[in-house]
Amino acid sequence: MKALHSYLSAWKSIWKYRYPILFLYLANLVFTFIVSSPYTIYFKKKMNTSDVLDDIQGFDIYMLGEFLNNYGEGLQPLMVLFFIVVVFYFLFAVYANSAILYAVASKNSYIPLRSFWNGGLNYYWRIFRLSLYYLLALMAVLAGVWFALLAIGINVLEVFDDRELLMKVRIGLAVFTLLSVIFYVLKQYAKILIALKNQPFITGALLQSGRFTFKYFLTTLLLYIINLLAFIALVFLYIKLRNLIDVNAWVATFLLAQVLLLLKITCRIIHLHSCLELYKRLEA
Amino acid sequence: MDIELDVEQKMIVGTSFLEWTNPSLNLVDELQFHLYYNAFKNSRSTFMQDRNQIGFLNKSLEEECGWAYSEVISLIDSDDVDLIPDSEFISPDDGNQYDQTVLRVPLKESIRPGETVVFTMRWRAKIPKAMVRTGYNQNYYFFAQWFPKLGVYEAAGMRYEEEGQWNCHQYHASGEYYGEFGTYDVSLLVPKDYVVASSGHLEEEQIIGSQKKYRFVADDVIDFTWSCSPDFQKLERQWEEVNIQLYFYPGHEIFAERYFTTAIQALEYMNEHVGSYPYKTLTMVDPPLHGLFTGGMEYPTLITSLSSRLLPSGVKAPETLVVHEFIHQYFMQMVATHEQEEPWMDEGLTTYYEGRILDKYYGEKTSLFDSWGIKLGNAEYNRYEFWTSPNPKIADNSYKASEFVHGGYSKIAYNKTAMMLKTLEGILGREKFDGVMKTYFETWKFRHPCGLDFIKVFQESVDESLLSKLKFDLNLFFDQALYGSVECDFKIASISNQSLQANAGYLNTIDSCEVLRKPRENLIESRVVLNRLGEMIVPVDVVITFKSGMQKSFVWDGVKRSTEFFQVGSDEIVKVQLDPSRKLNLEKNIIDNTLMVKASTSYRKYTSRFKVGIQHLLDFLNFLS
Repeated sequence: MKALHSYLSAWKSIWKYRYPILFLYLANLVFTFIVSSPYTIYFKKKMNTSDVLDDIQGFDIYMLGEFLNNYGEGLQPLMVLFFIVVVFYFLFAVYANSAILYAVASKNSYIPLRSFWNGGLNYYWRIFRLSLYYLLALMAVLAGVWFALLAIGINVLEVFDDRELLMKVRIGLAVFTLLSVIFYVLKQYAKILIALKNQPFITGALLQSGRFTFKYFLTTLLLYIINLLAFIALVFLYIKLRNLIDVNAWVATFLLAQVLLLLKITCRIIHLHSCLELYKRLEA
Repeated sequence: MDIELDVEQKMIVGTSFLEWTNPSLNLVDELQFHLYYNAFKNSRSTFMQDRNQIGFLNKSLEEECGWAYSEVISLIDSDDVDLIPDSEFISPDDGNQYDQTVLRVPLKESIRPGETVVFTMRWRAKIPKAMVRTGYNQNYYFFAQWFPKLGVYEAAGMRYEEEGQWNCHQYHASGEYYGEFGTYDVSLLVPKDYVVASSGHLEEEQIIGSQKKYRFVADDVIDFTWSCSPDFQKLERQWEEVNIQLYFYPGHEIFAERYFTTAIQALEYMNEHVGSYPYKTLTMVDPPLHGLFTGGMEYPTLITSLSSRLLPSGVKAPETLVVHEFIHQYFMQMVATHEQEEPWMDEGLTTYYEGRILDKYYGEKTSLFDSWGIKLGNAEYNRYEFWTSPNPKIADNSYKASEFVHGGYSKIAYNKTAMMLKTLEGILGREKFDGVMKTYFETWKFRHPCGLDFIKVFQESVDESLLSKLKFDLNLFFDQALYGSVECDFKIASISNQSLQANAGYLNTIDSCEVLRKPRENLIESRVVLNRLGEMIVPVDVVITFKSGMQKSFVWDGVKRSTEFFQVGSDEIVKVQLDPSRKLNLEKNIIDNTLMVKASTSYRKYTSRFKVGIQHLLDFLNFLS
């Protein structure tokens, strides 16, 4: 119940984040246009005087293949830009998440943009390090699961049939998912501890987060599942709605995707806020 | 042949009673045999030297002794003389002294033209573990190219031969086989609990102690293949006179309906469009996952496919393989071309019909893949595969399979040939094309044609008046598309619609200068410029659409590098299409084969989806921090 109360309580504070949400959305939009415009302009230039895309109603993968065959080389230099922007956006995402942490931890009922960004500065390097640790942890889990699968035998020449292989792969995926979730939860509470206790060292925050998470494992896991289910419901609803819209009505599908993005940003903030609420309730 | 399988020692021991008739007008003083299993004898065989695509099987060789061999113990002629002491291994292709895949056996007495001789051969072979196309893994055995097999003696005048000689190539990693027609009567002695799938039809089976003896007979075939496992399950279905059998491992009965449906579709289609399937059986083997190295192959009356629960049902893997391997019953089995020397004659023709059959029954846009909202047709993918190859001009179809040393084997022999045939079908019309192919099949079934024989059938079946009407040079086409590496690429360079200016200047007399420069009312000068960017010269249909909806069409012979259409009238050109019905499957770029004055907005659904994808990708980065 504490998990559910924490989650609902987070939603009650949602208005507080209206400007950060809007700003994060706009930032995503700007970066998206920087990354995608060279591609879309190039694509338009090559395709809009031809009728090949008019042939079928939906998406014609074959024609995308034709485009890549004949004009794909022109995309290669653009890939460099793409990777540069992705790296830059990751750094920006670290900053944005630091700012979200500040906003969540703040007792103010209104978060102006100026303090949102200033707050981000407080935590930037610590969140940056935390992100790297999390990435390393994910890679370690992935490698661990891979080697475990190899040890139990996933060589196609060694298994009896595809049912056996499928079962082993499913077990591997389940273990990977579970461990990833645990690391994600640890990261969330480490962030809370960084903000609440102004932990200067990540290791300290992570240790305390670990103690807290395993002490209240079921509750923290439950809160994670509530957040996850809400997110899945959102994506499910989005897919259902998108399937109702004609594939050629690109404006409508684009707008619907913007709504999804706004809600995803909101869910991310709600998740962190609900963790803060739960931490307070359990440690109070 | 009498064969005994020893599953403990992984050995087969056999006695072959060989009856052979000299088909030539020459005296034949030697025999040549393929000993394919010696390709897996050691790392110095030609096969192992040029292998580079079987890395995943290396473990069997490096960590256990998965190597194999084939040994002829004796070959006794009708005078009871053993010919093996005088035999030697030869390497007609590359001179590799370590390769033992071709055995030359000198005869004590030459075989006269038309004479039939009988030999008795005792031999044994160690079975390779998980080796390409053949071998064993766990309890699954697949025997292909498993017995000492006589090469093909080509009489003078046959294919490219000027005088009679043996055609018996070494075993190469790239390319397949060539065999002589014959009747195989094979008895197989296997452990009692083993189920056998085989070429031909079952004549008898009986239990002998702890073993079971199967006897199979296959008539008019170029090879004999079999497989066995104690885990095999079997289902049967009858189609007309053909008994279709499916052998599979437990759990894969869920794929049975897909297998039978596709096999019947392929039988019906090939019977209608090429010729009748004369055999009593068609055996399909669905190998287990640990036997996937044997999947996707064709043998007389026996084909192997692959299916997997790991793949969604929208991935038409079993269907594609069943259709492809079944078509090989026609092209390389009945029309027994040389797969090593002219791989396009079986693989290319098969890939072409594979696309036709699958596109007909599973949809042109969905016959290969129809899952997760992604749709792709078989013939579409064929084009994609060819044009995405690193160098589509790396070789042509005059190459033997083993000569594609720097790549391009499958792209040229399979994909490009199929595209060439689809283009030929497009230009001649399907009805005419099918008629020629039926003639080709009827003329050459149970014989060994070469590429020139194939071309000759077209030359004789398509009359000059039709070619002239189509503005089509058939010989040039085969030179360019089959034995050349030129590209087919047309483009619409420009469309212009300009108001016609009135004539000006000293028009009739130098005493009067006409200076009027107003456009003439309602008269538009329309011009279309067409370019041939590629080297290939083929006729191309041109359709010009005007603002009023009127269309004009004509055939451009494609000889010059560029041509133009010019008209003065009251109508503007709004759209020009080259090859609108996509007859020229070899065309490199179909995007610039249409030019419209008014831009289409269809691209927006792609670009908007791309932007949304980028948005969510960027948003995902937040999850990591």
